[in-house]
Amino acid sequence: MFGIIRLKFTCRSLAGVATILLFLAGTAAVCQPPVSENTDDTADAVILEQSITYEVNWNGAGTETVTGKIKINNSEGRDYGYIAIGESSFEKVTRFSAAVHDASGRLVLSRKKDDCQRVCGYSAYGLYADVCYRGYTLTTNTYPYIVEYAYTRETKSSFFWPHWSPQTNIPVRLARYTAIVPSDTVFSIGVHGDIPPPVVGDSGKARIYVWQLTDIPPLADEDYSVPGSDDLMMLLFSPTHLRLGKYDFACRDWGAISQSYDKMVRPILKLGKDETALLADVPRDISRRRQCETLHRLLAARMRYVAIEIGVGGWQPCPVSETFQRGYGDCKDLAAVYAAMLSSLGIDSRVAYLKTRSLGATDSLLPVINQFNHAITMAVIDNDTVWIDPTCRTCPVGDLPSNDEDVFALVVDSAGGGLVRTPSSTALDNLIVRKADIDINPDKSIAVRLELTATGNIEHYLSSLLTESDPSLTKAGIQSGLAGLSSAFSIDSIAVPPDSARGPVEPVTIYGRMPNAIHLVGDKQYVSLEFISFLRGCEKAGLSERARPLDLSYPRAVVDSISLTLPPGWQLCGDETPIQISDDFGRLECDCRTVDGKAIITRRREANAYTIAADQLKSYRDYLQAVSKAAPERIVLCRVLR
Amino acid sequence: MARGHDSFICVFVLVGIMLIAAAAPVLAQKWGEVSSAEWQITPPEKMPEAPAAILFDLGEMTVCFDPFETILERHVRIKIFKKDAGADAATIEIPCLEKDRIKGLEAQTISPGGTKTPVKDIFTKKVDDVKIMTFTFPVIEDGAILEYRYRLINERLWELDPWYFQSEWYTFRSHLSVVMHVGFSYDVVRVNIPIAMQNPVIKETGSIRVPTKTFIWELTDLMPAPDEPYMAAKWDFLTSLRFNLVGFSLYFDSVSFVLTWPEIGENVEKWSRRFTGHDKDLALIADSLCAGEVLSHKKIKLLYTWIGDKIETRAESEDIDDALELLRLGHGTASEKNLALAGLLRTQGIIAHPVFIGRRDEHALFNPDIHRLSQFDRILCYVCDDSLGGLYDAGDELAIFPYLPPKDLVDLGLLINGDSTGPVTLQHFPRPSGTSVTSSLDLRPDGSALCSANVIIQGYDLSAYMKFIKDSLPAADIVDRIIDKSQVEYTLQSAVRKYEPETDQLSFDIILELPHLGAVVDETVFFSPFITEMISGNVFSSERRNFPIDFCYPRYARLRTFVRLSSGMTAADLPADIMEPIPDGLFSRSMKAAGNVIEVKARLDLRKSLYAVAEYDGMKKLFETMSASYADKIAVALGQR
Repeated sequence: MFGIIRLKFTCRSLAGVATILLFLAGTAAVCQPPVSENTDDTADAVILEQSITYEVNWNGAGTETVTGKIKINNSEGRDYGYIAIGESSFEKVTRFSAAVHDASGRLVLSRKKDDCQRVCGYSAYGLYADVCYRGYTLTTNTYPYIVEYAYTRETKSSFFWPHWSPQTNIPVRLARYTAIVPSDTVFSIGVHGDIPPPVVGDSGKARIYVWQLTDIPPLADEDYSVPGSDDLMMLLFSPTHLRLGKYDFACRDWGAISQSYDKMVRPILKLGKDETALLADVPRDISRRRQCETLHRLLAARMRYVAIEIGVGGWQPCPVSETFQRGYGDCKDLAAVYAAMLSSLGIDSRVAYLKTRSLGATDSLLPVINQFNHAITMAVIDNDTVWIDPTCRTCPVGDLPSNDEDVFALVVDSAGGGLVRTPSSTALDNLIVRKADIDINPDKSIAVRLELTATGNIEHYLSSLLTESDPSLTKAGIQSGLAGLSSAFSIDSIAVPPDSARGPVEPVTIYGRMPNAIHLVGDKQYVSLEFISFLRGCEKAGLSERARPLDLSYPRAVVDSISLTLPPGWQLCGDETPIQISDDFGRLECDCRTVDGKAIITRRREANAYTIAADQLKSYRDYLQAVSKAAPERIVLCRVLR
Repeated sequence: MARGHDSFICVFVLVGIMLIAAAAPVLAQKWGEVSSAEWQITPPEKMPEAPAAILFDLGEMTVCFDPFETILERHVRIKIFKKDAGADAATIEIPCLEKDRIKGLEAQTISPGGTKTPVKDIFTKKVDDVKIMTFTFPVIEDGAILEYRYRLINERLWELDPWYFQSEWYTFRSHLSVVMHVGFSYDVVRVNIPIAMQNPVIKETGSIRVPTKTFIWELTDLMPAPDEPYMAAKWDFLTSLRFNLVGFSLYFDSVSFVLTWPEIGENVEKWSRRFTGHDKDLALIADSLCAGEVLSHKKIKLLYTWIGDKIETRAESEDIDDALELLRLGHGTASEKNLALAGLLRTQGIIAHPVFIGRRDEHALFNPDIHRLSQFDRILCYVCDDSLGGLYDAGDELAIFPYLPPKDLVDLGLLINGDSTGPVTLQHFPRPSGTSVTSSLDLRPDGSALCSANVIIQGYDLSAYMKFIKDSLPAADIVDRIIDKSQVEYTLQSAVRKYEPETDQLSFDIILELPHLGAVVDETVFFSPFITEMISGNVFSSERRNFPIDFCYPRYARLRTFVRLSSGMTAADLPADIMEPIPDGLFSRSMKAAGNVIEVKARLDLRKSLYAVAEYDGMKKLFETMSASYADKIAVALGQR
């Protein structure tokens, strides 16, 4: 599935600009021939043709030319006629033109380069980024219509060599990618999915590589999809050498990339007097691990996450002393602060770059510099690798947030670090324990006292909920996201231990009630446990028709201990034989018994996987059905016979 | 909402009106100096969970006549109580227009220990001609004080920038003073300000050469105003002041900037007639569209439909000169389209006028005492016709002839009719609106069921389903819209759609197989009788609310299910009936078993479009009860009992 082609090339690749731009090459004719009948009319829109050409220049700069033709069939497909193109200090749009023709071929509108809305400074995750977007509106009111576009963008560095993702949410009739590179350059290509090898031509000075695909089916639009999963087509490009700003990057292998990053990062690691003063608060007579934990506590209190991306600052951390003075920075700024200050304590530590799980897996076989979207710190303590994510304030030392787990991280090192796998967590690392005491009310409702304790990623989530500025968001998050409580469950109060006392063993206590939870049928009473859900949303969402891999986020375990005070004259009835189910997807144990006038129901479930592959979905559905059947959702009570 | 206005005629000596200010002097808070009282401030009693609060927000707005400009000097001080939850208060955005000038912008964090750390990095974001200066405070911690100040200079004398006392954070004190040459006079609109605080303190300031007056308002202990669901135009309810220039006098000359509505109407009418000029060309187009039709109501519909369907509605104007150009280009703003419609109708001898409105949830409501067109954000077409006279909005995709879209349902507008221009009360065609789902469930002993459902969507509720009416989306897509797949697993067997414009209804007949509707426990089946919810979830989760609840239009929802039990099954236990009335509203649910049929009915009535803030608690409880009722299960016994 992954193929690497090593070619001579001196440019860089860029991942991240993923906008379809419509463009009419050359001058637009006043009138085009009518729309071809040979198109898919049931889809909201169809990409009839899309072509990307990236030409590498001798000096490492590049020219990207994009053309496209899309047929918009109805108003649901309208969004495909909105085009946004990014510009920055490294990229400039030099040419743009577009036209819209109606079904009879009549020209409806045309656009030139400056016929756009410009939006500058906005960043998806941060305060500010020195990026502008040109937004073009290519729509009309009568369907179907054809949008054609073309644009050219000059890039100062092959760092911005665009990757190719030809598959999208609508059908694609023809997609083409052309790379034109000087003959004496070397570059690598990563191939994902079913993409045939290129046709290679030679113009004398340059080699021309052309990939072409036809009739690409649309991606199924499903919830909880695994980003960057194996079923997605992608081409990634990586030159063996590139330049970003004033920095040279050797990209022949991960070690070389690591050394190049080191040259960019090392100069900014110097500590100032304020940072050194803070280090004085870290005792020297404790273990290295505890020194690390102390420093983490001190820095978490001072620093916070704010992203500002200017120029090469999108990739290079700010000087440590500057970040420290400001008390904020983005992930790489904070990771650099940690690495520098830990090193100053004599703890071997480095900045590590990674691609978070939410963006998909890193292609470890293809050294591509700009795959990464996040940075953390790696320390070596007593020959153990210890990871710290400074952007996760609630994550203790050694405990990464779920998005950082089980991924490749590139450790930055002057001797040439490599890719290292971050640790994964197990189900028992992410445990939620729910202890419920239930009393039956005369109006057939139940009163519930619920104690929650959590560890690992679930505890991180709980901590983040408790720092919400709006208490109603805290309550809603605890109710549905954390505790799995039904929306019908009415919370009367939530008691949270004070911050200093809270930890994995300190419970959050919820008092509430569930109406209409009791059913009287003959001489039996059924007490519903549906106030607390045993399956998660991703385990219920339309699995019967699912085709794509399922993202479960991370392994987790739940232990429910439910105690029902038996009303006078009633006893637990039914089969009290414990139930056990165990397979590759996890384990379930259920137990039901009477102890001291209470019915005690215990449900324990461990789910081991981060994701479920497409070819496992059927087995997984069967497993979930078995779990649903086995885990009691109702307690059955019978009258005591006298 | 308390609204009022006064007219300050500064040329008259304010005998008996001048009040010596007992309030704090203007902008007395010194930059960088924090009092011990401020250090000791804790979260307010009314809102103990507040992670941050504005200690003061001071504004001094000076209206100058030489040059003609306004200068706002602003100084804001914020206290962080909890760093993690209050971090958002440390990021500031100051919006302004391209031509505005911001000077002297500085900001600093003052730690509880007294260390001051200035903000060094200030950025400018831009969207076309709107710019936003933004920055974030450094080294925030629990108890830190953040302050910033700046001067904003613009030329918007006609309408001074509004002053909002409320923000998204609790505000201990918000203070505005307006300094102006005595020659200026402004109308002031006060929004949601307590009556006792509406009149300013007035001070004589300036000099003999340049005499000025200062008008001071100060409000304290203001609750924050976060976004809420079903919120009407925020700007209608935020505690605020608006200023509109009335006139200016200097020595013996005076200029009035207020035009009467008729004067405004004459100007607007000249412009709109120019827009719809080219009568002969428009007449040719209209004639061909009407194709010999003689009945006026049919012509209205033909022209409305053509403008609505064939001309694309764009959000931004492209400076279209006239209706002919709009028709040629094939696109325009909604207002331009409605003007063009008026022009086309007039060529057919049908009287049509533009009507200006401020739309319901996007723009401030129209105040007829303020003679400014900036109050409006949409032009509708008013048609005088015996059979189909009324208001039309051919520019809105959510409009179905002859009705307006929900956001246009406002009570007041400005009718443009030359020297008869004036505010008019707007009446709308009565239109029952709501959704009904009537289902039949054939329940089997294994908990599976065959469901046939009839969904009828009526009136303004159709706006959410326009794509099914206009674009011929597959009828099967409706099932995804009304059923949550994660709650109800289903296999669609058939879906048939029918749209009846005469009855203003869109209906679907759906047949579904529900393999796991019920859970079987111990010879009993437990199931929920509803496959869909009336309104999903409890949208009112906040403990308190500061804005009225605006549903746009009165509406109903009906769910009715007949559960047919297979042989040998009997209804064993039904949840109790529910009745949750509120003033002008109701939720009820009842279940009855007779033989092998269980009939379940649920009903939601919201009999008015706008509910006051005081009605929030009742509305919240109604929605909580309704949301909780979806989880109620029926127990059906297998075998006779």
